[in-house]
Amino acid sequence: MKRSAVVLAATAAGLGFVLAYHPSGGGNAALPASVAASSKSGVGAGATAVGTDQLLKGGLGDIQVRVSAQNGKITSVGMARLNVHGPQSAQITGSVIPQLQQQVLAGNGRSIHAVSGATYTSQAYARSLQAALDKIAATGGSNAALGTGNGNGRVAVTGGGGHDD
Amino acid sequence: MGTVVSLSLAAEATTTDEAGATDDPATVALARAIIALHAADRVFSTWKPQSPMSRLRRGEIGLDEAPPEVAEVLDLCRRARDASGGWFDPWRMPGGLDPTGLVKGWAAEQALAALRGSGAPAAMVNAGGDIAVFGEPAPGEPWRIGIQHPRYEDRVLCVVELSVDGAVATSGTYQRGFHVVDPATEEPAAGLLAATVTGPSLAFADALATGLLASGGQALERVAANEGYSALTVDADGRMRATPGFPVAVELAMAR
Repeated sequence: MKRSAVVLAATAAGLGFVLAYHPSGGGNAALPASVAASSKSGVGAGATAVGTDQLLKGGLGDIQVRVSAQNGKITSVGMARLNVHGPQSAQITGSVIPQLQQQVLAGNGRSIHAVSGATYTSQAYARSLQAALDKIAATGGSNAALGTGNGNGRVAVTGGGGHDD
Repeated sequence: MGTVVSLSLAAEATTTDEAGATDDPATVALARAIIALHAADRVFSTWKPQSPMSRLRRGEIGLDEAPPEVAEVLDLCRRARDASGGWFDPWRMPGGLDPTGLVKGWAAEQALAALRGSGAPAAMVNAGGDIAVFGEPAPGEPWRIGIQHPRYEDRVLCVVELSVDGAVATSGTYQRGFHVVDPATEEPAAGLLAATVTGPSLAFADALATGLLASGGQALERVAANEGYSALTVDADGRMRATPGFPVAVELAMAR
């Protein structure tokens, strides 16, 4: 089994996604268009509007989500393509990470999983604490949400990213 | 306005074949969560002129012509209006009906449900600072969520712990200015820098945090009177008030 972390981000408003896929050892990877997983159930009300092979762009990379639907019900969904824009990943500055971790560690010696705050715009996300946490998880740091590196065979799947209006 | 949703999911290690393809359940779950978010956006966006919500606002369609989730959300809005003592009121907004204060939390809950449906033992969705979780990030451990400091963007004010199913939402004037409106006067809310609400439902917590900010802090007791919910406010002078149940694990900073 290969350990890896999937880093993913989506936007709640407007099309724009990010998905960075880091095989063990990091680096960028692209998935060929052969991904499809079966599922009998839909993904919720409103999903019937989903088309197939949507290409969604933004922030850290592109993701192509392949959705198949029959009679208004989603029958399968999967990643068709995945591209990571390395240089843009660097937009998430690392500068706030040490400060955040120092502050939190000073509190109780344990890291935090997320940060709750007033709604940030896609632009403001890049310098947010949540972006810093996502970046840590993306790089497989020991502070990653859900314990990347905890040795129990799980991987951390987390992410962040954005789009522009 | 766009925001960013961060998704975290505990999953088995991913495998890929020689061509790099995967049918990894975690990846599929994430894709489904993203689709749920975009589906919610298509229906409820007030920034998209042709969304059902925009058309409903303009009176072009009736509620019975809108997708069923619109009625579901508006029903939640009515309940949240009552639960906030009237301080969260999507029907008394300057531009007309606007459920945005609840929809983001609701959409995040839809995404979390998609992740939960994948069979993952634990997951978290952070929709622009509003967070819903299920499961435990590690056996016996709670989720630890930092609350953003309203004055310093690189600091957290305190850390709260969420157990198996929980949510935390924060409204503040520090990211986008005075965008929350007092429904009584339709004037921008003032008096608080930030309001945070925790409870079982993120849609509700999101709406209650919005209402609490709009109230300038007056709604604190009313919000906390809802079963399972508690709140924290930071006023313009940096004073913090928390209701009895607010799950602070670590207090890190003065708000000044």
